[in-house]
Parts: sequence; structure tokens; C-alpha cells
Amino acid sequence: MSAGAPDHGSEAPLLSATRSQGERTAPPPRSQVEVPGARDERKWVAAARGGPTLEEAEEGPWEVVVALERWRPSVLSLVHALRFRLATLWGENAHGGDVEVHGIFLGGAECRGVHLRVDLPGAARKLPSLLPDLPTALYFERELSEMFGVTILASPDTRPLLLHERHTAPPMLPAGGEPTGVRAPFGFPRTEGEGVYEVPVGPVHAGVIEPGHFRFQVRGEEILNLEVRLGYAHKGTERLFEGLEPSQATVLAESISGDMSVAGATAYALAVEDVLGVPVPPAAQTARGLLLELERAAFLMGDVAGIILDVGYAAGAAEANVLREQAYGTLELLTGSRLGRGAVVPGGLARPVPAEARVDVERSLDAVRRGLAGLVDHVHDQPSIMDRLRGTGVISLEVAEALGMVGPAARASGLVRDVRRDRPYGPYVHERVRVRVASRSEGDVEARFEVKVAEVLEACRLARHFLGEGGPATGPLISSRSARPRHGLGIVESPRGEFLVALRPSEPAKKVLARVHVRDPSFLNWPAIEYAVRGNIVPDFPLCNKSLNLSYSGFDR
Amino acid sequence: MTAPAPWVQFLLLVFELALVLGISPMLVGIMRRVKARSQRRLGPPLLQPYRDLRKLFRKDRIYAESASTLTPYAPWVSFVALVSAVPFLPWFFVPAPLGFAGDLIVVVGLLALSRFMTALAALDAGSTFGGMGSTRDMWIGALAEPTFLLVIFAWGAPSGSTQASVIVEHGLSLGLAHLSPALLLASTAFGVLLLAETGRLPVDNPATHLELTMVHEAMVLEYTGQDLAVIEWGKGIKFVLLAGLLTAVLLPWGIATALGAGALALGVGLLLVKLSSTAWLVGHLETRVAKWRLFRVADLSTLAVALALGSIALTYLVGVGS
Repeated sequence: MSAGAPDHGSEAPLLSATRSQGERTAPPPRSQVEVPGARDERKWVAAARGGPTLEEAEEGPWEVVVALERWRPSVLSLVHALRFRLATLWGENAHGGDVEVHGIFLGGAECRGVHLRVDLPGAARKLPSLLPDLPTALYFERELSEMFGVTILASPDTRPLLLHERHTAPPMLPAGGEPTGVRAPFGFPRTEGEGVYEVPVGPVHAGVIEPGHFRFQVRGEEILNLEVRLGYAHKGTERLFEGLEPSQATVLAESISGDMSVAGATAYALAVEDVLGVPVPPAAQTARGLLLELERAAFLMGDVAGIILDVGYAAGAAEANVLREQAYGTLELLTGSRLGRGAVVPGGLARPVPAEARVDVERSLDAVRRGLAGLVDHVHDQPSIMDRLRGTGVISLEVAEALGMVGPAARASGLVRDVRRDRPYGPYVHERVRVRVASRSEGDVEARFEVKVAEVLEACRLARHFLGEGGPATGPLISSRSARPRHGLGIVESPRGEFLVALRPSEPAKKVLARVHVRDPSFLNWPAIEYAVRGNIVPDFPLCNKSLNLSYSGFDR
Repeated sequence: MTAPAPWVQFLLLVFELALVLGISPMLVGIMRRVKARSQRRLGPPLLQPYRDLRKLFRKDRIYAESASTLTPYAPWVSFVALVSAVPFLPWFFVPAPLGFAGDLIVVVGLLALSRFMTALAALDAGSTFGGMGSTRDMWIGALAEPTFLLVIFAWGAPSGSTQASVIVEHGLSLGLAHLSPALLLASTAFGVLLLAETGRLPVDNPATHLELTMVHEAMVLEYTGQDLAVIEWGKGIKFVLLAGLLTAVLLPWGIATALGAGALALGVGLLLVKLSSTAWLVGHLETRVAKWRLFRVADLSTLAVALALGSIALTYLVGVGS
């Protein structure tokens, strides 16, 4: 699953087969299974821990605590020598005003990942930057800096990320931070020269969309540079989780990116179940699979409609929107909510999926599949549409890798990552579930369009597979085993890509949530748009934007 | 064919102006309705554009602080320029009331004046979108206007005149032989031009909310109230002008050449049918294509130029036209 690994074949089951030996329900017989390449990974972990042998009972990511001076070399050796990738980086308050920095690195032959931690003493709170060697780290470091007051040493970009001029005190520290009313310039890059001008767009847009500011430097119609400024939808959601009981906070996880409610709730539920050792009935896992795939089909159908609409082909977009609504209607039929809100909870499902809906669901899935196939044939026959898509907004594989992109956008650039296949969870653990991952190598709008179309069809197929297994919907929400990791981790392939929740309950009773970190896929994918539009013409920007369909709220939280 | 008495001419002129001003919102309504139906929507009522105009005329005018005194006048100059073109064209009676004073090249000039004023006003407030819109529109204009002239020459070649009335009378005198390959080529070129000039797909998307892709809409973002009303109305009038010219030259039948109640009524009735059909056709065409990449518009203009040149060649070299 790591960058550049030879996993471009869409049906390579190597990784999933390894993982689906059993997760959580049965202790995995890892010691008997010799995974190629696993030795390096274990050797690295043992060396980083300073020698002790690894316990076979360990589950989940390898937890490693490194000293401050070993932070940078450890991360870089993990990323460059072992080909792991940075999935997320977050801060936590520790005792005595210290700040802990946690990083999740995914990859490796065993697909367990590494959970790296470094402690920053309260007085100084200085962390050497991972840049320029690890570009993915930039946004994480900027967030760490503004939220926890951590000084990032030798960083090329120390501007705030989410907080705007009115904030100065780091709001995630125990003392908190209130807006101060002091404004300072943000410092957009400037481009000068004959005929070069700036186009500021937003944060309020003409369409009914989320807020974000785009600053273009343009020569004629050619985009020389784009800088995106976000944070307008920052709600401090991570802090809102704190102090809530795990069963109360699902609604927060659903609203990280409201259009991916099921994925958000599932990632959160998986994290809670991970840290508390909650058993989930198999029927509930299967039903989650159904809801996740229905959400994916509906969401990506919306993307397909949006791309067709933004080239001005309103009639085709209307057809695509009919199919989108059909998928959302099915989600409503099953959960009572168009967006699937309130369906997935820690422990399973809030309510069992109504068995009598089976026929209706099957019928809609077939209708979506058939309708989309017909629509795509029609679109392929329209040179005026295909001409707009081809070669527009190219994201190269190199850029996608450097930014650590995820989801359909990464797969359209040849970076074939899919958590469902690479690190199966919940419904996808079962061996009979084989996710066929679509990918393209061109990285342009057309490639993203085709990947999304293929994923809608695949989501319909998987949803049919998950359909119709009855049984109990919810397991008991109690701690069943004592030896659990300190952090719970939930990673889900949402419609936009890998959605990650890492959480830690309060010690020792684990009654309430002490820290919840959410990493929306858009957090990794937003910078890509700045690369995608370079050299394109201004009127093609909305098309590049729509083909990526990034979440503002998920980025800002 | 002698020209009627001056007072009759004057009455005809007034009636033509009222007709063009009155019907233009309806044609916009037809195009919107056709497009809505293609998207499985009911669409607004056909009279909605009239209600929109009434609403806008009741609203105040507001200007950017950075705007100069040009901004309040520009839409009205542009509007008057478009309305002034009406008497130069044949509607339901030839000769056109002001046909003696100018030919189709005057019409091209009036359209250019209207475009120039709109583009100038878009630059006035100094907003980015206005600047983007005006550069794009002037670029499209630079492609469209020479094509327009070529089409006029192609149309005028058989009769040897650039006078709309003469072209129409010549056409009428030929009967069905009027529909020559040369005429069809030139009229196709004009059809392409009509889409570009009136800001329809695939050149410009009048229904989009995406500021960065706009051409005409980007230029008028700064306007509201009565100014916006005359801009919107003017856009409809421009469509009527071009559609009226195209149908008059391509299908001149029904246009009266002598005064008479029956002939005039037939002329007016057929004119309404011709204009509505054109609007319906353009609406359908718009649902069939996506918006072209901006610089592809040059290809469209190349096509139109080629068609117009082909038409002229047919007329002069082959002699097919006459």
C-alpha cells in the first residue's frame, strides 16, 4: 500500500489475504505466518524501541516512543527506507504542560502501521520540521504550531493554517485561547511581471458551497500559481469531543464532512471499538458495509453529475442527479436519513436494517448501475465533453506521492491506495469481500471522472453483496478486555478516501473521551489542487475543483 | 416597389420597435423553458422574463465606490445602440424603414458599439471578474465581427448589395431557387455567429454560477436594478436582431413588399413563428453540447469564416448563387 509499491493491478489480493486471516475476533496467528518483508519492519520497530523483543500479543500499530533528537531521523528512515507514509500527525496535552506529538505511519508488509510518539517538554515545545524531506508533513506541522503553540524549527512555512488573524493564543492548550481581535496579514505569495494579475475568489462563492479563499496569479488566462486559504469553517470539533461519553459523540464524527456521515461515524465507531474492545455482531458489520457502499455510490454519483454540469452539459447532469437521488433515497429507506445519519454507532448499528427493504434496495442498485452505464456511454460519445476533461488539471504521480494523497483522486494519478483492500476493516475483513480497486495513470479530470464512475459501479456491486444478512444490530458497549492500546484507531475508506479517527479515552476508567483526532481525506488532498491548476486556464478551474470535490469542513473541522 | 408615405413609414417603425422590444423577453423564456425540459424540470413560465424585468425596473441602482460616471450611462448607451439597429433590418415589411440610411454594416457597427460600452463599463469598477469578462468578450468580438462582415458579403453577393431590404427582395424574387448552397453555407456560418454573439453554449453558458468561467455575465456582475434590467433586456433584443436577420434572409417568404392588411398580418404572424422557432432551436442545440474550452471558440470562428468564404466562392467562381 505504500507509495510506488507494485500494487497497480486492480485485483491484487496479496495484502487483503494476509490481513483477512482474522481481525480482532480471533487472535491472529501472526507468528506462524511469515510475511515477506515483515522482518525489516519488526527489526526497525525493535531498534527504535531500543532493543526489547516484540511481544506477539501486540495488536494494531506498533507503538514507538522516540526521543526528540531521534524524531526526524526516525520518521525519515520509516518513510524513505521502509516506504511507510505519513497518515496523520496530532498533538495531545500531557501532564505538566507537556505536549505529546503522535504520528500514524501506514504501510509495511504486515499493514499494521507504526504509531510514533515524541514528547515535547512544556517550557520549550520545539519540534524540528520534517520538511523538505516529507512534504506531507507541512499542513500537520502548521496546525500543530497554531493549535498547541509548538515551534516548528527550520520550517519553510510558518503561517497559520486554520486560525485566522483574530486568534493568537493556541486554542488546544489547556488554558485555551480566545480570539484576540488582533489582525495580521496572512502573506500570500506575489507574482509580478508584465500582464500578471491576481484573481481573488471567495471565501463567499456564487454557488451554495462551503467557504474558502482562492488567490490566483494569472497571465492572460493562464494560471501561474494558486494559493488556497481555508479555515473559514473551523469549528473546534476535536475539542468538542473532549469530555463526552463515547456513545454521545457519533453526531460530531458524522458532521466532520457531513456528506460522508456514514464513513465518519464508522471510522469513529471502529476507533471506540478498538480502544474499548467492543465486540461487533457480524450482521452489524455487514450492514455497515451496505451503508458505506450506498453512501459511496450516492456521493460519487454527485461528483459525476457535478463534472458534467461544470462543462455546461446540464441535460446529462440532470440524469446523473436522478441516479444520485435514487441512491440517497435508498439510504433514507434503510436509515431514515438521506445522509445515513444516526445509523452507525459504536458497537454496531442504532437499528437493524429493515429486512423488507431488500427488494427495493436491489432494484435501486440495479437502476443506478444501468442508468450510469447508459449515461457514461452517452458522455463518451460527446466530443465537446470529453475534450474538456482530457488533459485538464493533471496531478502527476510524483505530486500525489509527495502530498500523500488518498482516495479516488490519488487512484486517478496511479497511486493505488484503498483502505478497504490494503487494511481491511469491519465489513471488508471477510475473505469473500474482494474490492476491485479502479485506477488510472493520467491524473487528469478525465481519469478522475472514469475512476469515480468505476467506483460507483463497484460500490453498487459490493452493496448488493452486503445486502440481506439479518441478525442482531448492536453489541454491548463495554470494555471486554483490559489489555487494550492506549489509543483507538479507526481508518475507513470514505468516498473521498482514507478517513482516520484516533482517540484516547480518559484513564483509568475510560468513561469519557480525553482526546479525539480526526483526519479527513481532504486534509491530505487539498494541496493537490494548487498543483492541478498550474498551466491551466482560469475558466477550467471550476472543473479541476469539481473533479477533486474537496471538503472544506473536513479540512477545517 | 415604391416606398410608402412618410407617415406610414413612421407607423411601421414604431410598430417594429414595439414588436422587437415586446417579444424579446418571450424568446428568452422559450429558450429557458426548452433547456429546463431537457433537464427534467418544468422550468419557469414563459412570461417569467417579463416579471424579472418588472422587478428589476422597480429596484434602485447601486454603484461601486470605485466606479466612475461612465458606469451609470454605459448600459443605456448599449441598450439604445441595440434598439437603433431595429429599423435597419427587414422584419415583416421591406423596404425597412431606415433602410435608405444604412446597410447591414451599420448594424455590425451598432452591435460593436453596444459590446464596447458593456466591456468598458465592466472595466470601470476595477473588479477582477469584470476585467476577465471584458477581455474574453472583446476576444470573442474580434473573432465574430469579421465573420459577420464576411457573411454579409456572402449574403449580398447575389444581389450585389449589403442592404438588408435589397437582399430580401432579391431572395423573394427568386422563389424556391433562393435556397442555394451558397445561401445555406453563409446562413450556417451566421448561425454559429449567432451563438457566439448572444452568449449561448458552447461559447458562453448563460445559466452558470461559476464566476471564473463567465463571459457576458462576468461583465455585468456589478450592475443591479434598472441598469441590470436594460442589460438583460438588451441581451434579449440582440438575440431578436440576429435571429430576425437570419430568418429574414434565409426564409424571406411572408415578408410583405406592399402595404395591405392581409400581407402585413401574414408578415407579422410568420415573423413570430420564425423567431420562436429559432429560439426553440437554439435552446435544443444548447442542451446537446457542452461548453467548449475558451480558446476552442477560435475553432468555431474558423469554421464560420470557412463557411462564409465557401459561400462567396460558390457565388462568384462557380456562379451557383445566382
